[in-house]
Amino acid sequence: MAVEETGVIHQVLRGDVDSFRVLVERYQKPVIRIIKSITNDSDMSQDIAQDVFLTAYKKLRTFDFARSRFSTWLFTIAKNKSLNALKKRRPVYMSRLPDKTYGRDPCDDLSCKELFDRLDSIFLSLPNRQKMAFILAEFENLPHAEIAQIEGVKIGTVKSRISRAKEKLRAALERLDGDIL
Amino acid sequence: MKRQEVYDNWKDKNRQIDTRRSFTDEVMDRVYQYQQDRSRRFFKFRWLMDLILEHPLGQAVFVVIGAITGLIRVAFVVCVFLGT
Repeated sequence: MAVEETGVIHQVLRGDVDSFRVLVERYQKPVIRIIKSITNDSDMSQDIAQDVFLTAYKKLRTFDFARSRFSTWLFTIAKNKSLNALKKRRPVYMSRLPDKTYGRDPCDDLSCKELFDRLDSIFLSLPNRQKMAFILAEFENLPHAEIAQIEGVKIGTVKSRISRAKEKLRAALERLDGDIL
Repeated sequence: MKRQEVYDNWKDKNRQIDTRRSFTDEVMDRVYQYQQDRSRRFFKFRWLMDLILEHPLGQAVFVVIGAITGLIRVAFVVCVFLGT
């Protein structure tokens, strides 16, 4: 897949604009997931994701194959754009509070929904750094070294951020154990 | 439901993400627009260069400007070396 991806990038750099579509289709979901984890706003996430891809296209010539994988480079752009958007964001009013969850619920019963809601709110209350590390490790299955590169920190820091996030979620689950489970 | 099961289901739920159907097309439209603007800017520059260079007077002005710029740079370097 990486070899094929390298070929696609070279095609885009040679002027084949249409080939960029392959990269957009391949990475749109992980990019939106990362942005969503930081901004917690579906519509905003998709708008920022569009900016991320446009920036990636504009700066593709500066992407260095020897330094990182394309996904690492793209996710770094996504992280930076999301943090910038958060800084600029106006206060959110009650009438347009963002969605709490991302996808469809795999469970239908009420207790399950309640559990997910509580886990969501605990996840959303995590510091951005922990959320980001958790998303990249658990949802995108990226190796710790790659996460460290995206976050610009040491591998040990990434490990501790992930374990702290997991600890908080585990503690929440334990608390809910008596309540609902 | 067991704790691990709840956690795994919650992760699955958050892994699913709904994107607008037109997402890719919207991105590609912006990319084509950017590419078009860039080409337009480049052709404007080319057009200006062609306009200047196809007239002998334009060529002369171009050479004079180049020569003056070169002389100023040489003078600047000389000043730096002489410390004045």
